[in-house]
Amino acid sequence: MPNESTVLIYGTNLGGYRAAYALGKRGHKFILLNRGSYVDEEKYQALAQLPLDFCWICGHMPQRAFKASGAMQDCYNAQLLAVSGEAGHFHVKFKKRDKPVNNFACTECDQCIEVCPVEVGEGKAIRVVPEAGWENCYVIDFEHCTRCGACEEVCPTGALKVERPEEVVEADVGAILLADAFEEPSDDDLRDFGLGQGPSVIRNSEVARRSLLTNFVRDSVRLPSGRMPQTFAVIVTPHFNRPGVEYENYNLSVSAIYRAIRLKEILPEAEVTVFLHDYRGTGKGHHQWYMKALDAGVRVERAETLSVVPDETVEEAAIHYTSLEGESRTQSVELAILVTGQSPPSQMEELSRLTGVQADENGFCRLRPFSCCETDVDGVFAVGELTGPKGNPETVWDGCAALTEMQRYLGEKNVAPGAAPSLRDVAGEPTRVGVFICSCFGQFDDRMDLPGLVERARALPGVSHAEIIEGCCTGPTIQATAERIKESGVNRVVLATCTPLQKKGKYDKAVMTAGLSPLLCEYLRFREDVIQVHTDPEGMLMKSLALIRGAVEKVKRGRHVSPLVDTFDGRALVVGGGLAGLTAATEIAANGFPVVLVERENELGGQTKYLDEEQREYVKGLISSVNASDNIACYTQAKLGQVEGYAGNYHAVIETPTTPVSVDAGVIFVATGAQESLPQGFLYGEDPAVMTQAELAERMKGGETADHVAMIQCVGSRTPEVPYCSRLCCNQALEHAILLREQGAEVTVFYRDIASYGKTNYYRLAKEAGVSFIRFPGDDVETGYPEVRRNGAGLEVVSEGESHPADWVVLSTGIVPDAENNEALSELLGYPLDYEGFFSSDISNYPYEEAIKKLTKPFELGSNGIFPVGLAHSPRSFEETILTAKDAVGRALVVIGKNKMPPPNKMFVAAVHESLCMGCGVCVDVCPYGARVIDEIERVVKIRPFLCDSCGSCVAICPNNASYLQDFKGEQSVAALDALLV
Amino acid sequence: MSEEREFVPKIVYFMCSWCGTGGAETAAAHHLRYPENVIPSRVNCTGALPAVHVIRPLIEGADGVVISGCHPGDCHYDDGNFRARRRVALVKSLLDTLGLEPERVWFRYVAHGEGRRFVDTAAEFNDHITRLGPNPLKTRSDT
Amino acid sequence: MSDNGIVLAAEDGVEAAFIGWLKETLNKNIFDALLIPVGTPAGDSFAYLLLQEPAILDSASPLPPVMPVQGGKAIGRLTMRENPSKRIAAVVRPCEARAAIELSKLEQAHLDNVCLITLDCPGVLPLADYLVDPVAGAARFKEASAQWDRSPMRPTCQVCDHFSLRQAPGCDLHVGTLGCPDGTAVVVAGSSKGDHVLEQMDMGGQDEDEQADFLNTAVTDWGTQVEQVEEAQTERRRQAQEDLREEIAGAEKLLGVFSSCINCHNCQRVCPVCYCRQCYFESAALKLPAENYLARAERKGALRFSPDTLLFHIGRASHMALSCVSCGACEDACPMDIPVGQVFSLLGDRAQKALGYVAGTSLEDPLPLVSYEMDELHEVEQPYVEVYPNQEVQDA
Repeated sequence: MPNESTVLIYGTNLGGYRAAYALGKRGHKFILLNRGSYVDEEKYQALAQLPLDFCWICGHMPQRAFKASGAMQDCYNAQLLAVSGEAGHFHVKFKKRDKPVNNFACTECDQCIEVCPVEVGEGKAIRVVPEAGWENCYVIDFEHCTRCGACEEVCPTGALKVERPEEVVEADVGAILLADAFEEPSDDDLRDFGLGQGPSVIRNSEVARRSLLTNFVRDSVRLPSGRMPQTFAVIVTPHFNRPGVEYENYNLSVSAIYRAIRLKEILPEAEVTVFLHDYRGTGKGHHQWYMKALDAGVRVERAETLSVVPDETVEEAAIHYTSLEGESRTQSVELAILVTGQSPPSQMEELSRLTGVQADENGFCRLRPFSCCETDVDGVFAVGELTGPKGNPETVWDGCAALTEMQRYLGEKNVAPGAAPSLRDVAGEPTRVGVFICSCFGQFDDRMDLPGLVERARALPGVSHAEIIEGCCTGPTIQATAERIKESGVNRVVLATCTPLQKKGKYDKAVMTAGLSPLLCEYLRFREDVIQVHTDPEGMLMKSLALIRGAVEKVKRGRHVSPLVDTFDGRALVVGGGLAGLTAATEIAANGFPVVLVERENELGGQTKYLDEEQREYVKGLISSVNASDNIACYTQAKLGQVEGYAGNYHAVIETPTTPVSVDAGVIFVATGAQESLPQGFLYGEDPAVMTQAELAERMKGGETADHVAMIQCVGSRTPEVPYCSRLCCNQALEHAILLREQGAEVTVFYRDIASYGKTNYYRLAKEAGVSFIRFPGDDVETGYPEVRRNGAGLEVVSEGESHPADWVVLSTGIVPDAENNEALSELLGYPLDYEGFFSSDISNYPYEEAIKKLTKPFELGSNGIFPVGLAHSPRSFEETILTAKDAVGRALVVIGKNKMPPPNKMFVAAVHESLCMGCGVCVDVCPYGARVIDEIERVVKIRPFLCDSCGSCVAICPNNASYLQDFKGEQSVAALDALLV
Repeated sequence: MSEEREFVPKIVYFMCSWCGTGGAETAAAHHLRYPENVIPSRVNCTGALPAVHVIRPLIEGADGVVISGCHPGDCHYDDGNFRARRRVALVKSLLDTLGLEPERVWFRYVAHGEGRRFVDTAAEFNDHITRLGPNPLKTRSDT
Repeated sequence: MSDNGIVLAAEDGVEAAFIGWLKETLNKNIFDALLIPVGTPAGDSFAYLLLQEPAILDSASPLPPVMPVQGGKAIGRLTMRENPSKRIAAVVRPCEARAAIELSKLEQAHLDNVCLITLDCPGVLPLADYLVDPVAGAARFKEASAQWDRSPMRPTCQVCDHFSLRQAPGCDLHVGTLGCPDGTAVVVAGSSKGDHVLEQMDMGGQDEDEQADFLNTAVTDWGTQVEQVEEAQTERRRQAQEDLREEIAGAEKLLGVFSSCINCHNCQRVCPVCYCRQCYFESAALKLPAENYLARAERKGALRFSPDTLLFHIGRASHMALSCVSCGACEDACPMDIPVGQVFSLLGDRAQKALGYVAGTSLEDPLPLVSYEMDELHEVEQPYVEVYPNQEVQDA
């Protein structure tokens, strides 16, 4: 029996959303179990730890489109009841209760709120919750609701049912994905920090919540009395909390630093102190933000222990802390902001009982070795925060990696796109514009004089028809609108409705059912721009008319254009045969797509000298799979000689020791690795007792040890030349220090910040093992670093004037990009490097790698089919290297295998008036997607349709409007703008 | 003061399809109000807004133009807002050089959920332009 | 800038020496062709000739008294499609070389095989002045330029502070005459391409050390002189632009300045960096139905025809000001004597300064609108640090 194709996703963390998106796009059905009662109820990480004050995560999943295509079944108030069967053939049973208001049918007319008789605080028992979310959800406060049913009666679309039945549903699925969301520590967990004990202590997530409608402003931190605090403490609580209570995502210290910088922005005179034990920003841009904070005058105080005692009445809190030197200090602030970690998942026990997954020592879901997401149970996967504290990038990558890993359990795709209705070309017909004004089921009649507006609209030049429609967002009203358009005989449509961002699919459906291209239509946000934000009748009428006039002028000049399609080659080219490259090659090949693997050395495997035995075995296993696969052609001692083309259509020449080989591919994985930075100074190379961590590992393998070992961290990292944390050195040093201690050596670690992260807390283990730690003030790179000197037969490390004798000095050197190779490859591929010299990726963004939109942005071809993975992408551990590769494979799997592809926004795509184009190439330079190229013979720009996400940068930069979007042309926009101003 | 009240400026509010319009939608969901004379105009991305589109309304009848897109790092198309910022700097420089009051053009980021920020921007800009008075170009026939 | 250089000297003047040197480059096959201004046969104007026959050089005029065609445009016309297969030396004024460099960034000129040779420029006469009496004009120009007297030159030339490209890496060879003894000039290389030319021309002969000393002194003297004049010119430019801004700033004055504009768009047609085949302001985008004009006339009370004059000028500035090289060609072309050259030069200078760019001085600096920094221009971002006491929200 073939495997099931549907996937059950339990929980709503970022990784789960990302996996759902990828599954839906690839063509698999999924069932989304949400424990909460609405879409983003269970989504705290965004607020607590996403250090930006805006968020748009769920908006990136085209929920409405997935629902329309049948890919998504979303279940609320859901609870998993039973799981039986095995991977590929699970039988699951769960219960769910639908939301009282089905937001896909809700018109957001607010009548339910108006009729609700129950006042709760400033609102009613039914209210809107646009937390950080993308859709406005109507929720009922059942604690206060009297079940009077008045809201049900007025709901024009029947979207509201106060009491929904609880249903038990059974389903057959091929795989199960556990994606339970992040949980914040409770107030009691944070009692040592005075939370809830006075007005002067607040969670960072609360600050973010207060900032939702405005972004971070002074009011976000205003004290209850209305006073504006001038002294602030920003405290990273997991650094000081009791063990086991909360765990730290590595970006927490960045959240704190970011909050401090923002405080200085809005209150330049304020005194802001960040309290932490170590600054653990290991990601891209994190070090730069740290330096920026120092420049902005933020004080960073490192403490060993810390507690907060707020005054119960006065708006003041005392921060009691011990410095790293052991000195007790107290600082008084007006507001203490707590940057909190995450609690171990509360559902773990239940999930374990139901599915057989196991918790690790800290209570997070355990994964099998070397797997990104697969648990101990075949076919059951876990992503994101459920598996341990991690940063946002890793959480998101988990999602696509899960797609990659679960492929082997899933059957054939089970979602097929429906056939598009046939559209009529209106060229040659006289222009007839119809204006259709939505009354929102009669709701807008009370707000303004709709018949009067229709009358005025009909009188506008070029308008041949105007009428009021009931709506265009429910099945019957979409159909009715389509009929009205057809009957009215118009060939251009202005629909004055609401929220095109969410409902555009429905409006498109209506006009397409009427046989017209959406390019001939314009959707106005009648509700958002007029009805709900204004009260003055005359002003509303004038504004409505201005908007309609603008839209009429625009659609008059619209043209029907058939969507373009282009071919996509389902083969892959992998450059680099180390861990990342091998992973990408085997995973792509396992899905039946041919792969060409290019390695410049004699043998596959890459740099293995840093790996332990298990890791080496794992790499050997991958090499055997590559050799055994019929789908992989492997060239060693080879390099990329030439590359032409674009996503889906690359043509490369591989230079081999014998003859050059031509390769065609749709996607390219760049897995060329990086290098260990070679230390300068510290007597390295002059004294054999000074070595790098890699050299230490070799010596320890050879059985050598020493009595006194000194380690110096951040050698060649976090400097002006290498302005980033190399991420791996701290864990590596701590691991070695623990081993040396076990052999009886005295180990002293000289450090700036211990940026240890991940599941094993090496920092704690090292301290328990008796490793000594001495901090040096390395923020001043010139003078802060310790000096290594010869002292008689041995060595000494001198830090801040104090001498520490040592037999060995071990330098923790960073990872640096292979500059020469990267630059050459970057040139060859036309793919940019980031400011750190690695290949630009979804995390190379401002302000730093948590910039969430780029990370979650669901445009797989945004990088032109090129995917940097492993160390070519950024400094990464062994497991993270595998993760980046599997994430990239997951993203590639969404597109490869589709032989023909339309532009992502169908007919809404860029185009060029070739007779006007001068081939100057400025549009090529600004196109973020490589969707444009200069045709060298004709000297004009050509479009690569499926790479164009229709952003319009090309339109703005083109001086003479040779570049345009099909719905944004010069003649449309100028006329429309003029019309707005009448 | 009463004289100023009589002047109702015409304001064009350019907003990107993602964050700017999202802010307006959140404002609507919260029934936050702003002046009727602020007329929205949607572009896919602020990076898609040609300089001429900012200049044209200032000559043809607008008293002010305000532009809102995604916050830095949050652009739906990665970097459109950074490109927009350069273009706004160019337009402001040209207007400044010609003595055409660059303060009639504002550029402020508004994220999707920031409804209050959106209406505040509309209201604050409206008050600012009201204080500044009518754009002298809009009544000139010889432009 | 390279240290490489030579000294040109001839009894019959530096122009003759330079032309002689150019002939040598042709004879030695260092260049296959020259693009250089030559007097027209009628004797009343000058045109760029693409010449391969050395003898024609005798009638060449490396620094003609007027600029009927901007040399950057000539270079663009020649190399727009591709890099020419032969080596061409283009003898142009500094602003013309800068225009060529801007065009090359816009793929409208291909300079790989073009050697840009510029000369210290005294400016040019207003074309209209010169055409009244070309012979007298030529004499006036000769006399003034010998004294480095810019007063009869065009207004943009009078305040030019880029008259010598000694420090622009985009220019390959520069001929310096300012402050050099009569009949001598220095030729210095600004690029490796220029270096290579000088190396090929340097076939030995004189004692090398002596030559080097002599050259160093000459180059230093010239450099000092240029620097001094530049400083003075920068100050004059600042003052002139301040005065100009005083005259044009504000709706009333600005519309006054452009009130005589006849929308002929000549300024755009002759502009070396306006490279579009069809200008946006002549395109379908602005070909609107009568209704549109009527509506606008209703709003404004009346609408002048031809319309959109101000939009054309400010809009065009938004397209080209960042590449404006202050050459003044537009002002020569204006039939209505509108000081467009000065206005655009002012707009260009200030816009380029705002975006940290100087047009035409380097091949490497990206055009300002195709690039950006993440952390810049925060002054254009309208701050929002506190909720606004929004009357509408409070009333609701």
